[in-house]
Amino acid sequence: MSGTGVIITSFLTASVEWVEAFTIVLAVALAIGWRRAGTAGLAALMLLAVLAAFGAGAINAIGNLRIVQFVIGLFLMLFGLRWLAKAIARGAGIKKLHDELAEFAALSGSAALAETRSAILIAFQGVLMEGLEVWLIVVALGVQTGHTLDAAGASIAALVAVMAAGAALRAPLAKVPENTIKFLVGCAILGFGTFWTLASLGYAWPIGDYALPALMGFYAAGGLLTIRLLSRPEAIVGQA
Amino acid sequence: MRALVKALFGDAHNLGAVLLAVLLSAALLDTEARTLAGVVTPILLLGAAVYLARR
Repeated sequence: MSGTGVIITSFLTASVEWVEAFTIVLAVALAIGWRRAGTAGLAALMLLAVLAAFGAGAINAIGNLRIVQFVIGLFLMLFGLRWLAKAIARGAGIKKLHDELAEFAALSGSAALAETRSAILIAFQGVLMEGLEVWLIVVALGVQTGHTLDAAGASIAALVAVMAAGAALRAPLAKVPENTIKFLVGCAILGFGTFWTLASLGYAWPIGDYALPALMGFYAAGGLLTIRLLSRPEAIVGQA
Repeated sequence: MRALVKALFGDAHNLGAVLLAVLLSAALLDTEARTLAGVVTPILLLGAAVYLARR
């Protein structure tokens, strides 16, 4: 598989997560200042980088390619299924769409931000938690395809893009079409996971590598159909 | 730690749905109808996504 798919998927996944992390850091920064909030966020990013290097090394150390493919495929299915289900639920109006402005308002009004130490912890934990899914994608997609550096580079590029947009706006990035991105990434990741898991179990895909885009297309078509069937009147059209 | 586990596996329903799909696929691969695994597994997973979305 070419690195392009890995780069696009990593970039989109990371964008969604970094937008949420930025909202947290912004709220904390307005309470205790950019220097402390930024340092806490940076510390979390450094921990994530160590985790990514450790994770990639640990998976490579397994040695048996089929086991590696199975483990990675399983984790990608777990991740992709979660994102696809969430995007379908939000697209159909079963669950509320994620609202960065509401998240920001709730966090800004939180009593925890009044104390510097707990505010620093909130920034650190927020970036770390949002970054864990980025870590999973970078390690899983990167190791399996041999494009770990490309995947890591794409997630860093997403971080830079979100930071630049956030710095320019000086507000939560509420206009990012998060649910649409989650839907697309969910379909892509679930496609990767299905493809590799079955291949690791000894299944030879009849159409070879073309099965990968076919799987993604199947999940996308099925997801859109489900959204249409489950849609409630108040659902926002075009959100997934 | 709890957040790490949740980030990796999701909730019990998510984990159960994926494990069920994998086990059924593995069982199917041991039969003469093994070629169907490539069709059955995605259908199972899409069904799981619909179930999880409606919860």
